[in-house]
Amino acid sequence: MIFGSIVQYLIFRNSIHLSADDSLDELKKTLVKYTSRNDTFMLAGDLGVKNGRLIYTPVSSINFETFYQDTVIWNRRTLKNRDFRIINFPVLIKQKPYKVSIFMRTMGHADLVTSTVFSFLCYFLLLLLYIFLISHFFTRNMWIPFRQFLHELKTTDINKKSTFTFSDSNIDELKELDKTYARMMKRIHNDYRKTKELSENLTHELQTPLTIMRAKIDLLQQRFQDDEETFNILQSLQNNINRVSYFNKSLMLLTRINNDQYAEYALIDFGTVIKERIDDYIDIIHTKNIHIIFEQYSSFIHEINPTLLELMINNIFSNAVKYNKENEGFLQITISNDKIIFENPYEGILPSGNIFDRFKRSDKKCNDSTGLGLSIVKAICDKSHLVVTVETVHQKFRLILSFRY
Amino acid sequence: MKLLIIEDEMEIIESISTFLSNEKIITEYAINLDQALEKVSIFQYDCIILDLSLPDGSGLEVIKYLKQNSIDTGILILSAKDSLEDRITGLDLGADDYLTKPFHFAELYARIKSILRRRLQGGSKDLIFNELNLNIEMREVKTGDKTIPLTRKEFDLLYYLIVNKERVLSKESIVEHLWGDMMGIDADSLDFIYTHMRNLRRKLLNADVSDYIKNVYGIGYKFTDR
Repeated sequence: MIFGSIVQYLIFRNSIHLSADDSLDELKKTLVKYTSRNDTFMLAGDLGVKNGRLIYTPVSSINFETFYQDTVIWNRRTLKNRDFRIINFPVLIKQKPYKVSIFMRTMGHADLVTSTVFSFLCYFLLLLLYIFLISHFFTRNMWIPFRQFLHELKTTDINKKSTFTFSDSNIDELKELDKTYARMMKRIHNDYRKTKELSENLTHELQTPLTIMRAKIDLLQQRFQDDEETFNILQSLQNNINRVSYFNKSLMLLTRINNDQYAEYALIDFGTVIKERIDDYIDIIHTKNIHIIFEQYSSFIHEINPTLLELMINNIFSNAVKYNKENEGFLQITISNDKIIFENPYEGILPSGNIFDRFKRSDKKCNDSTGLGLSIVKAICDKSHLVVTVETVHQKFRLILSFRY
Repeated sequence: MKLLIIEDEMEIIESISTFLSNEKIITEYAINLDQALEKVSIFQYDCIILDLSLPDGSGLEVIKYLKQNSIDTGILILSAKDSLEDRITGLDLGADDYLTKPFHFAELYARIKSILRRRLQGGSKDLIFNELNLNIEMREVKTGDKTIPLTRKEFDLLYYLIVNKERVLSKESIVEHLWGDMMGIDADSLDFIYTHMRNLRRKLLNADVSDYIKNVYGIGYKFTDR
């Protein structure tokens, strides 16, 4: 653009000079014609130029060529320098040689620079405006598919089939993106479905051999009722089968929760359910000498699947009872309008990382633990718009349930 | 007493048959829906043990068939699918009870017994063991004219012990019967059964009932008069 402006300046200057010279030549012709015909001075008014812009200077000879000059004259009235182009040529009037100078206002260097810079600025502003308008109107439309796609990526649910398409677009790139995305989603869906089916089938298929094993050992136990040693060995087998079976059921439950197989929700008062669960657990709790403190300041009502709520409270209780303190243990349940706190003494330290991860146990001494209890609690909370957090404060373990806003 | 086991796993059928034959219960079996419908349309059974996932269809079809044709028999659903919908659908259709695999035989037997007792036409529906008389509907235990005050859990425990008399019941099996199996209780916690057993035994002894509850090898209990 700057280069263009320089070129423009040069072209302008050249053409201005040319046109000024042309006009001056015309004036010269007129004056030469007049003087040769009348042999007298031609007045500025007759030539059609302002007074003072036609000057006759006596010279010694007329033997010089016509030449052009540029000059700057101070204008007293306007207090500005004016640029003039002057043509000088010889004439003979009454046998006396004169040099005639005709002045013509022209655009000077400063004017030309100013006008070039001005036009340069005009171009520049016009270009800016143009770019702005283009980006405003065109690119806004251009980003629409991108935004749609971004929205799709943000909101897509792996459990549901995606129906996203740029079908109304005839842009090749978008069509290709469409195809690639559809192919990718299909593959993800298939993999996800297969994994889901695998875990469902696996846990389901395990139930049958477990049932058979349990049944056979049951039969053997009845047969060896009077043989303490054999009976004990069989009982140990039975206990381990129970563990596998319980573990399997928990995994099945997790899979089901994640597959949204508990979709019926109802508004439930958590306090009522917790009280019911305490009644059910009271025997175990008493045997372990655990003191129950139940404080309800307000009702905590939330929409949740009743079965899941029961399972969740069971798991929380089971956890609180399992990791409680022998003899001086307690379980404090505090219900307020926005959260429920389950608090029990806890002497260990929480395992590093996410305690809600599957198979995370706080210590190895509890071999009967499947490490799935808190995962189940978390999975249920996730599905029920609840938030579960845990913390340890002054040798107390706290599990807090609150609403997800 | 005749039972039909509808189940696609032969090993499970054999185990249940062996177990029930010790209790003088005759069993027949069907390994698919086709066989099952054929058998129930021809023969009369006191109770049907029904697996829901059969190779050629859902076991729920059997219940529908029985109800449509007004065939009166007890139905115990036995399923590996521990899904709530199945349970509700099954019970809604008219099944008497629902048990998930894997199960304890003592539990299966107690469920069958209670189905059979509920369906008993005429006569006493009470469960009687020597001087003890359990009224299942009223959940009441009497010895002679004297009522023994028992808690809900103690009653369930006594019922479970008497139905499975002469059999060693492991603590796990008792816990599962009384509290269900979703509790995830560790082995140490099983000792709380001891408290219940002690209370029950004391109440029975106070009512001059003989001491039938025997502790077996520290791992279980047996109700016996021998």
